[in-house]
Amino acid sequence: MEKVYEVNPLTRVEGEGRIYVRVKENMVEDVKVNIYEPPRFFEAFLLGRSYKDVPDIVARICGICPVAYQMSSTHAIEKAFNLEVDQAIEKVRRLLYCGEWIQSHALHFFLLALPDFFGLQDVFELMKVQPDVVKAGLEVKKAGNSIMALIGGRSIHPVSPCVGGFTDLPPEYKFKRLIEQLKNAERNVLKVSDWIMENVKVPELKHELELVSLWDQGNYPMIYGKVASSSGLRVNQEDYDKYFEEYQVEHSTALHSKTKEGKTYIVGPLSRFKLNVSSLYPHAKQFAEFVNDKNVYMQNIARFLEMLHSLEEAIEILGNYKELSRSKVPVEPKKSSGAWITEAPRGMLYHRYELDDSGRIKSAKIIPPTSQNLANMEDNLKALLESRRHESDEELVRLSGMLIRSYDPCISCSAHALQIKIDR
Amino acid sequence: MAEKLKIAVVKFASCSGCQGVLLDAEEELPLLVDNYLDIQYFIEATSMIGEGPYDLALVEGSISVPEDLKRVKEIRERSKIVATIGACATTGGIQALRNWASLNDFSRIVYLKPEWIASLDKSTPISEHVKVDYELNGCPISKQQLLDFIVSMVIGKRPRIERNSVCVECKRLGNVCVLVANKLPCMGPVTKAGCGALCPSYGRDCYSCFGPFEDINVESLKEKFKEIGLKDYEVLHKFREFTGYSKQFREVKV
Repeated sequence: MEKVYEVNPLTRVEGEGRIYVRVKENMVEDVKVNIYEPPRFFEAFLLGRSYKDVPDIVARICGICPVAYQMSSTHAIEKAFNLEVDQAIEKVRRLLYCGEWIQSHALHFFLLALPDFFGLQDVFELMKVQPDVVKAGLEVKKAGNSIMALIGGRSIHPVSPCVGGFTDLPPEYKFKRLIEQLKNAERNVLKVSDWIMENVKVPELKHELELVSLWDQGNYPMIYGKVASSSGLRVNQEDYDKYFEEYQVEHSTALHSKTKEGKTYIVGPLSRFKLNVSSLYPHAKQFAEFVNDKNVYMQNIARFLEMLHSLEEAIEILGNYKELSRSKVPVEPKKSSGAWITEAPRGMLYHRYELDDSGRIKSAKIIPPTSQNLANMEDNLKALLESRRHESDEELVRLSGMLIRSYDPCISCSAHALQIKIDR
Repeated sequence: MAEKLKIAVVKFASCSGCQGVLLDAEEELPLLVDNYLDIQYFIEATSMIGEGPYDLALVEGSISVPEDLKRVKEIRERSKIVATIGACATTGGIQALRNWASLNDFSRIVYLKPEWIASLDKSTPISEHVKVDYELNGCPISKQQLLDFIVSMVIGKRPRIERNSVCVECKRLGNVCVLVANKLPCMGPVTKAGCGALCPSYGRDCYSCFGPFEDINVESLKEKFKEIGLKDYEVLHKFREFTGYSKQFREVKV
């Protein structure tokens, strides 16, 4: 007997896609995460544009993680131009990136994922039963947005980040004024954190994972680091394309990725946690024992810990902040190429640009985290459906949705892909 | 209390940033949902799928694939009021940059097998396909404008329309003109106000993410850009960016 399941559309994710599963004689025959998000062809229309336009344009790939696109692109271009940026400017970039991690992780954890654990449709229902938890989550989200708005003018598509640093930055007292807001948010979310650890019980799924993230000796990775994996890989960023490759599948406007040995792999909070746990700040580290890095559903908990980490680190950076002597370094274009990877909230984001001597783009390559995760999502789904084949269809659809959501997939990014459909 | 306004938040080709603006109203959104809004459809935020009819559809994104031609008509039929939110829905968005190139070439650059990718020749604003009642500008839209608009719809009042340019906002803030003083190619003189003159306030030139206002002098600004040393392609790219396919900008030539 053949049966088809479909989760369509997949909700509480960013963008549009579905899951399709076909089961025959109780065997899972086909699993597809379909991305029908319209393709937007960024790598094509960047051609011929000035390097100056790049951080503004690529930000528009994603309204949730624009800073990730700005940071990967500016660093890739600075690498191409052989440009050294002041450490003090890099610190402000890290602060801005902390702001993005805080708001993006809080959005996903509290608004998109948490309703699942209480059998609810959305955060508006959750607010009625757990008002203190939702309130704390919204306060954290707002704190992250405030950091971004201060440094970038606005939290969605910040205007100040540019090749070389920032077009301008606000005066020091405005940075200092943020500290109290962040500390309040931190205090209130820590009050509900024990409750969250005890009450958010993620489903179990045993499935071998190849976890890949940057590894930035001693620092929790964001903008720098080598590419590392749970099976022991440690290579320089510029060698990324020697170990990983992209390929196209017919059912998706997002490209997929595998290791050169043909293995699927996973990027994002769980991978970063696995490879960098010792660099987490204390508020996050106290909950490290709750994360089992062999269960993909644990991405939710790792994400929550990273949110606590970024909040604590942002407060530290703000505390030490002194007005910069300059907000950007002078830029001299040259004919060259450069690649860079930073850690977007959802995982490694690879950018590569080739530029001519006037600084115009000759070629561009962008590999977002969700594209790298798509093949792994399909593998996980297959494992889930095989290990739970005796559960009801309704339960399978619920668990499948939660599985995909645990990745916090960004479909707009990946189609620069999701519906769920199960065939039994 | 009056009945709540049934709303749908719908996405076409876009980055989700403009619907994100609604989710970024961390303080206001819970109040609105408690008292005035009944969210019937909003894929990113809720698993509730209400088929309509809706009192208000907030539409993000441009029309760029064949299926969406049909979907946008369905949304129109199910909604009393359709408002576009942001540069993609209002002007075609950044992805409209392909409207000046061959789709085939573009698809070939990104995809190894372009034949698997179904796409329309052009990325177009919602108003080219269905009647649009209101348009909110910006890439992304401004949170304050969105909240003012929603409140206007709730209480049944005509929303405030922005008629000034970014220059007016700069003057109000007392900003030094980046075009005159720093010779930066600022699009402020032809761009609709609403952002609070963000870019000039951060020492840079406006890139017209709110798009053109009605009565603009493109020729004079082009001349000014040439005078401060921009090459022809740079002048063209100033107009062809986030709102390049708006009616006033799409015909600009150099």
